[in-house]
Amino acid sequence: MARVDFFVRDDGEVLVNELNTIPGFTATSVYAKLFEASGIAYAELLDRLVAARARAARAPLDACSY
Amino acid sequence: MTIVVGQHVSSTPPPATRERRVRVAVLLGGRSSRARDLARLGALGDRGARPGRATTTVTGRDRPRRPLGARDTRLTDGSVARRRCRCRPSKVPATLGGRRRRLPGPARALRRGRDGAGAARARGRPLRRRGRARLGARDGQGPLQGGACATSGIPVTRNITLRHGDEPREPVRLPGLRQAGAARLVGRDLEGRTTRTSSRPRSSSPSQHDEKVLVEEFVDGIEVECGVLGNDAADRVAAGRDRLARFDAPTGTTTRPKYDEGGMDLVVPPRLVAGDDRARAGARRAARSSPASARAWRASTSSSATTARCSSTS
Repeated sequence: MARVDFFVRDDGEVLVNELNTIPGFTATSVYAKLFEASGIAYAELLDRLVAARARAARAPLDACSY
Repeated sequence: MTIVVGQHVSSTPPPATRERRVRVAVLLGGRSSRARDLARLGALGDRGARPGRATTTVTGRDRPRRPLGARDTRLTDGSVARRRCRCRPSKVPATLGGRRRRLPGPARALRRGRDGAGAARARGRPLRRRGRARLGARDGQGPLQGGACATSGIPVTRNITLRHGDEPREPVRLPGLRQAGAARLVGRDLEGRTTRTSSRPRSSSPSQHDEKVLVEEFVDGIEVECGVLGNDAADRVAAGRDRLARFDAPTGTTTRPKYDEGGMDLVVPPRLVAGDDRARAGARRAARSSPASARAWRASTSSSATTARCSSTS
């Protein structure tokens, strides 16, 4: 989970401006808006994050305490 | 891992003339700053960036200095704080009492020289300063972000983090800063705005903004934001797609619309052509190469109350 901010210059050069490893995560935050605009609603995004965490912990989702 | 790319832009018309500008933003906390940023603040001054100009943007230099008590520390806003005082956090400089914050593990590793820049410093060798700044190989980068992509070769902007109480003794010349323009700290009424480097600053104290102030290099281009979902290859394969979105507006005049309701428009799909793939690839590399990413992931999903508060304010 991260939000990475870039600048793209007119000549196509891409510069990393900021790496947000804990981006704003309210329903109106840019992170949520980005995924919502791409077809992943906020609730689904939460599900995916929890599921990803459960996979990372190598535990079944129903055993997850989150 | 799913990548979403967005572009920030506002409806504000671009400036008539494209002058070199810097952008000033205010953060609410974090750990990326450290003592060497003190010297970077000096680089922001006119004397360092523009030789021959005696003025500087650093508050406190023009103030008459008087001896402090043994347990007192003069803050950048002119007030005096006693060591080990119980005043508000915003009034306590990070270096108060001489205690150094214990950096997280990855940051300590970077400081010890496991990143390219740190290793070069440890060996006493000059850093390579050729071409555009590289993460981890350019002064002024925080330990986490600076070392995150040290080996990935991703070009980065030169941002400088200032903390409350950070004041340089002498301005420092930072190679390349003259071309980039001298950064200015501006008054509260201009927070979040882009300011011309040729204008005189309204004020110059980071403490007048917040405990931590990020000064961003102005880049004449489009701001693109990439949301990254997932931390490892398994997530990426499972998701099996990269998605694009885009905020559209002209940058270069102000960043305030980013934080105003309705100040930004979301345009899907993105209009970027050449930069799309590069931005997505860059986001993936940056996120996966960051040692803090996994820590942030664990922290953001932790159920502890302390962590939850930290997450909600980041």
